[in-house]
Amino acid sequence: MQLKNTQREANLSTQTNKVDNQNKTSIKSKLTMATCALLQAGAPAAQAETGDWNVDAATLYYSEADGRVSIFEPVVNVSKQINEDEYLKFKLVYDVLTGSTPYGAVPTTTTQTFTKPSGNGNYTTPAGELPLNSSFRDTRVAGGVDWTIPFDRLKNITFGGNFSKEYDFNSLAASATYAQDSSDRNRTYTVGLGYTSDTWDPVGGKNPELTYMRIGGTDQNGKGGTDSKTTTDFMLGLTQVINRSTIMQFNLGFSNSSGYLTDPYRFISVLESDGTLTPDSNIPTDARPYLYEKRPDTRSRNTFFWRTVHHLNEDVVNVSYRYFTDDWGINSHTLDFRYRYELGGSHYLQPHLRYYTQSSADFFANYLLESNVATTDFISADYRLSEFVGTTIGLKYGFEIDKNSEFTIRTEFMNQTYTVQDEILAEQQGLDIAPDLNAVIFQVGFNIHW
Amino acid sequence: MHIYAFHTLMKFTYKALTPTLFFALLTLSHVARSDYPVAPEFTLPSQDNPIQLSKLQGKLVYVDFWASWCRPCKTSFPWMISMKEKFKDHPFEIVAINLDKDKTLADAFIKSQAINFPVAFNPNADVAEKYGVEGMPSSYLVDAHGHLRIRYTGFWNKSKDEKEQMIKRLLKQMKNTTNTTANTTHLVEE
Amino acid sequence: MFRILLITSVLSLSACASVQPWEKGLLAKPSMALVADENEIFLDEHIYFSKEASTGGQGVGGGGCGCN
Repeated sequence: MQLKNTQREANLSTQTNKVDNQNKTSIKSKLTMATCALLQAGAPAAQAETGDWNVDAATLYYSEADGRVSIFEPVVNVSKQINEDEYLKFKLVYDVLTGSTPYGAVPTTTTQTFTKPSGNGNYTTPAGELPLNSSFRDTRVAGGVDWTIPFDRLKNITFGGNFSKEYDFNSLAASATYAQDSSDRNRTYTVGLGYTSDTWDPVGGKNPELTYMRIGGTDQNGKGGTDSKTTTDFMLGLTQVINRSTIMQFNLGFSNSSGYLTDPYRFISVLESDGTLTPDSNIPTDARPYLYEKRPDTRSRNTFFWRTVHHLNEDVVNVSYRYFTDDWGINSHTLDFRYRYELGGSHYLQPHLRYYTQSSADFFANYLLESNVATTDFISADYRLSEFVGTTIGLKYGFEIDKNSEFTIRTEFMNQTYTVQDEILAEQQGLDIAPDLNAVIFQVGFNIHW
Repeated sequence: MHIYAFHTLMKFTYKALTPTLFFALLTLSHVARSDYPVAPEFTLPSQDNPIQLSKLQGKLVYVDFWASWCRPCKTSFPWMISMKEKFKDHPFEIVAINLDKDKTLADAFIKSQAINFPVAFNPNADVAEKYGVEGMPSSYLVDAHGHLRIRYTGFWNKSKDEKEQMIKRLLKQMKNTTNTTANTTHLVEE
Repeated sequence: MFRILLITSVLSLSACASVQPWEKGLLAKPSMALVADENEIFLDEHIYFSKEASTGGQGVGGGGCGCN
């Protein structure tokens, strides 16, 4: 068994490059990534003797059914212990995205034509099918550094910096987290602050919010330009040893974003009361019956997170719950359960279950009636803002190659089942306007330390 | 900006729950020997004969509490081994008291090191409790008269030299005391 | 909702025992880390942040053997 985390775990802030998905859909809707400045995926420092190294590498292959998104994503973490309480850690991520994504339109019984994000061309969707925008290969590079510095035996601070770069989106983030242990080291208090600055340079420029899409090749009605947003995060955390075999963690997170929070590529179908696309007579010349979405320019998010790790006779249970709420009307619950089943010797099996439910954003709609267009202030048909239930089930296998290295492999299946919010109109009867999302997650990982 | 943690050298806390009193003493100014608390006695099994602290009276004893799951504990062994070697011609002893509940894990580590001092086993940790251990590892220097002179909580590479200096100083003190004919000195020859 | 969660948390904390430094052998095991496989959590977070409306929560924690 590798002693990876025998020292204080509090100290290394790991910043996940994660994206505020409201904003990050690149042209072909890849998994958007932005940087969350606050220590996330809180992996504790890999523990090592002074001067020792720890390398964690993994590759993810994520693939959605029905020709949708696929991601190939290798990541490597290198951490070095400088002194007993001081660590330096580097992370580098590279990802390649292919496939297609729904941009918010609903299927109809006729062929539909959309303008490409560049504004220069058009593409069609066959009758009855969910409109998807097909991506080309897109790549992203991201990375970060964390530096943990001790004040004394019980207190330390971690400074982190992260960046993420792809052709239409850049992100920079910085964070600081202070951690303090009680004298018996059964409790750790953490306080963290983060700041993230993201800039959008969308293909074809920003879509002018709440206006109709224009036919590709014609005047794009002011489509263009770049924009940005900033996010400030504040986090309070408490880790408590409950008994010899149990530890719990509680976190409270507060986050505020402001700036351009709209998705620069998404739109919503404008329909008549029978579900057909609103006719040309209702829309400007050279326009299409799709309205570019608009989201508020601020968002305030709060999270409550609780995790328990408990050692049974041989096995370990790791269960967590997160409650999320924001001022866009979204509330969610996430329950995550991992059971590490020791196989004896130096390998294990770990089943994993995740259950997620969210409510829809106040301004979410599956489609927009033409009669409501004039009175709409915010609107989005982004399925990720709708009401849905997400379930993931998976299995991981890990084994020690020798006393310094370990290999892991996991396979998971994810499903998202959406609740259609608006009445299904005549045109869409018999069509699935919010089909399930099914995806496979596959990861291999390797750890070596010396 | 680099903040250095200077790890505690000489802090003793008053232990209300144990019968032993620990005082905080920083300097080696002339202090009556009775101001230093008496190191709690123990007799513990080892790999050979049982180890009894009182039998080591007359020597400077470095008592170290450790466990196989504690990384800095394991890091400290090469240093302890080098200290024992360095001061082998002096009245200096190291006793490493293992607190693993599962002895097999301790044995595996012991085998991997060329340990030149006795390792005692205290799985129920009652001796650790008496010594008021507050962190892993914890080490204590017990002088020739069985008094606790200093406690170290944790093990840091940057304080190795300082600890070595303390050992030298205490050995010197012992030597000076034995060279005089102080009537309070009572050496037990082994 | 937040208040209920906070109160439940505080109550659960009162169930703690005071664990001695030498009793942390199990807590020191890598499998007992709050996040045992950092990359797995990182990659999962990436997926879920991109496919869901919720973000964040995990933070950084303490624990482990509490050595040094």
